[in-house]
Amino acid sequence: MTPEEAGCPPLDTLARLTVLDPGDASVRRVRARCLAELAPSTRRGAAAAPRLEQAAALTAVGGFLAAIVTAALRLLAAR
Amino acid sequence: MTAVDRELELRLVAQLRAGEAAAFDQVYAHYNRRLFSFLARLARSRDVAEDLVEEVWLRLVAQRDRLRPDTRFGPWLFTVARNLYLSYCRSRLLENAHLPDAAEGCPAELFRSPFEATAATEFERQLETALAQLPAAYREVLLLVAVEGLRPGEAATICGVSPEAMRQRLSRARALLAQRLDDARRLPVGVPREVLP
Repeated sequence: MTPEEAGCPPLDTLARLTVLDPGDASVRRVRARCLAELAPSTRRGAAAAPRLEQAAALTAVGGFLAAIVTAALRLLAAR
Repeated sequence: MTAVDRELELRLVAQLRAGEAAAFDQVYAHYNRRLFSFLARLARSRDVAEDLVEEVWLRLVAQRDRLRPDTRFGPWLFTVARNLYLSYCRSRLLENAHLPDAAEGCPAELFRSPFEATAATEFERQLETALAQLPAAYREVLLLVAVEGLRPGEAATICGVSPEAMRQRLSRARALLAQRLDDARRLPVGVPREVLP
């Protein structure tokens, strides 16, 4: 707003007009719908973490078993 | 949000892009009443405003991934709100209402509670009436610049016009508003408003 516009009484008064309130039911409904829309991405993120941990554990166990089998085969071959 | 809060706004944009509900809550708390007031006065209907404001928020959530990191929530939300209002007018075959208004508004219906109604002074009521009687193209610039405090440059972007066109539209809107207020003051008590030109 230019200084000239800021000095215009109707514009000054417009800035002080009552802020209108939407109904409480509407406020709650909109918020709930939006949070529900946001929730899947949060859940996806939360669900991805355990899957990564499981994959890491399986890899470690697999590597350990492979090492045991390799060592056993070497022992058998040495005989 | 003031310029001082810009840093907070940038952080909220990043958090909302990441899907954080707390960030949404902050933006919602800050802008919901302002958006509702803007739309209620633009559409001159609380019911229409409630429907449109819901759609604005759902769009923000649905399009959060596509928000630019430097997004300003105010202009973004008011642009979407205005576009949804225009779509609503088109869907109601009222697109001409954006230039000459077809129906007279009833500002009293904008006040939800007796408290809101009595809180408004007589001059405020005259102002609401005068505002409601302006063509929507002028009403929206006054709502954006004078009521919401957006910069004329931001209002120009929201309305899709050049800064110069916005300056002219704002000037014309001010003159029309002053004229309507003057007419209202000169109107004798008890004369129906319908007789106004």
